[in-house]
Amino acid sequence: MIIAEWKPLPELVEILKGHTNVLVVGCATCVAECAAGGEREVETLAPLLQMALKQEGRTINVRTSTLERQCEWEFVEELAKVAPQVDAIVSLACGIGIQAVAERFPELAVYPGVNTTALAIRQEPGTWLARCAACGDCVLGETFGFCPVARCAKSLSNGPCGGTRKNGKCEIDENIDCVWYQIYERAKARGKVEQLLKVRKPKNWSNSGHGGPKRVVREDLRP
Amino acid sequence: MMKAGTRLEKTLRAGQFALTVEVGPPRGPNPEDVLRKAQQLKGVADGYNVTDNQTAVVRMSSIAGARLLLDAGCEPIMQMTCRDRNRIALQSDLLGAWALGMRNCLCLSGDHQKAGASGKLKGHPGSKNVFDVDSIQLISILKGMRDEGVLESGDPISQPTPFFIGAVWTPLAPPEEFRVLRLAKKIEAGADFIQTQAVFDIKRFATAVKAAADRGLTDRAAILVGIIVPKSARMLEYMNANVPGVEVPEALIKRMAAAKDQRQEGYQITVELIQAARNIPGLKGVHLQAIESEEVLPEIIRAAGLLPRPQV
Amino acid sequence: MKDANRSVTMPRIVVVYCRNAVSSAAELLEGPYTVKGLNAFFAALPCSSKIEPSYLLKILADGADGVLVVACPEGHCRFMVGNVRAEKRVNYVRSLLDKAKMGAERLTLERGENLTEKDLLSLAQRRVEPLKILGPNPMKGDGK
Repeated sequence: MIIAEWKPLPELVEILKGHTNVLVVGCATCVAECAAGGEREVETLAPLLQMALKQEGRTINVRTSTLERQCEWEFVEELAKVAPQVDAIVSLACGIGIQAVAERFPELAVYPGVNTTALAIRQEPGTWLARCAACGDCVLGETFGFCPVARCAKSLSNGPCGGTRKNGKCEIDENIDCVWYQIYERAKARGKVEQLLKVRKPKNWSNSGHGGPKRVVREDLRP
Repeated sequence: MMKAGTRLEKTLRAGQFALTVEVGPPRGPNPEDVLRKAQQLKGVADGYNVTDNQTAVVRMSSIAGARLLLDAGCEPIMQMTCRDRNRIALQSDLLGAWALGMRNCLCLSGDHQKAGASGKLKGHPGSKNVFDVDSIQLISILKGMRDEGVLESGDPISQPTPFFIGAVWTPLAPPEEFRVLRLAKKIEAGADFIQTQAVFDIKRFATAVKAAADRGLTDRAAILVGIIVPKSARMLEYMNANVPGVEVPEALIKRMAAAKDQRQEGYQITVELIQAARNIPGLKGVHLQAIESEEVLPEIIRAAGLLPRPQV
Repeated sequence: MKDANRSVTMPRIVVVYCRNAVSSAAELLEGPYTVKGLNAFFAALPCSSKIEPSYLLKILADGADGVLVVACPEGHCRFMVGNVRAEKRVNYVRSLLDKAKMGAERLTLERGENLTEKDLLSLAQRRVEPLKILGPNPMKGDGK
């Protein structure tokens, strides 16, 4: 899923100071799974924003809505009724959802309520870990199912740097596993360590954002 | 056949035990800071490593620092990391560095920018890293530019850039069994010489070197053992606990703690480590570091019996 | 003068409590309970873990001066760890209240078992002074 985290409250208070009718919009998909922008979080942030703004001497009306998927035009359309009654929208969806709302309602100020941070998995309740960097050149077949692009702090292609801790964690964060340690352990368990001996050439990053904004076209699916 | 003809390469080729030292560039623009170190260290080593913003702390660039050393009569080993430059910038800097006279280049992935925010320094933990290529890929880029006169893309350059190519090895970091294989990859990619992470446990290090020798690696590349001059028992304890790949035997920490003059004891320990390392079969030299106190090095090198340096 | 001032600023306290924390012989307190020196509203829950951050914040956004969550002692939850979850949520909401500059002290958690009506009233009563010190909720009188 795409994961996101609330923006710091003072930042949201600052951007909403000039508004009186605010709509907080959530998304019931990824950001709901990562507890940043689902219905619960929308209903939590709305009263919190009211109180935080009150401390600054501002009284705002807050409406809330949580769409099934904020990255689909059909669902975004559901906001058409309420949009004329507000002067700003705070979206708790990922950057995709925020832009969909901003594109559909160009006359309105649309603000991000979250920072979108990674493509991740829920490791256990309350813990999410980055898993994919959307690099456009997947190597998982050669790295035993562990992504060194997203999960190594240096995105190394050819094995661990010297910064693996004694317990197999990464030197820059004791809570993060050294992914190359994991790749090696898995290779050993599968009896395929020799697969890691090949010198991997520099990656081709051009199939991701580094090649310019990504555009995918399937002629058979186009109108 | 000589690859770059540097003093370090010639020393190794002549079968002499090589000695390199580390010179950290200043956190400022004053060339005198580099020249002062050059005067202190001139003639005591076969190569002078110039670090590339080590621990992600902004310092004078390794290319500029290396050129200042070269002008002062110390042959530099320019370090180059993959943290701050993509393959375009790396290759451009390699061309420029070669034009300025650099012939040794040590390839590293580079410390993560989070490492720079420690102690009194804020560093730049909010910066964007690059890591377009990794250290092994950088080695292969240097090899291509030297041996085939081509860039990573395959595009030719007007003339090859013969560098003596270096790489680092952290033999005692986990997963330990893989470390010798990673060394093999670096040599396969084109590394001519290897400088290791700091070693204090000679016995364990000797086992790692034997594993490398068993794979024929000590014949294909020259391994220089990294030794850091210890300043205090606290420093040893800190490194043992916090620097991955650095293993300090308990006895050594105790010995240091019991010493009346820990600095002097540190020099003595360094000399003993060098002498013990010289007996490791297949080991070709030592890479000596005295962090922020390079002036102590000549005395230690003399005491270790490594002066004068051989004429090559 | 002092007394008059007190009556004006008498804090309104909402008490949400786990019904399992209350003695089976006791009558459950529900709804407003205004006696001398106390202006409280009680709501019983099947388990303290039924509280949601959004509910707690809405109670405060609607003008209550303080919220008191009453849970069973640790290890005595009928649903195993419901009261542990409740405490985590209370701590989370307290951190949010601090960030909103509302003051974490507006939300507190107490534990108890076999509580009587008197005990509940007394727990609510103990919140009166701290909430007076904190001052009235600025959200009060926003037409809610």
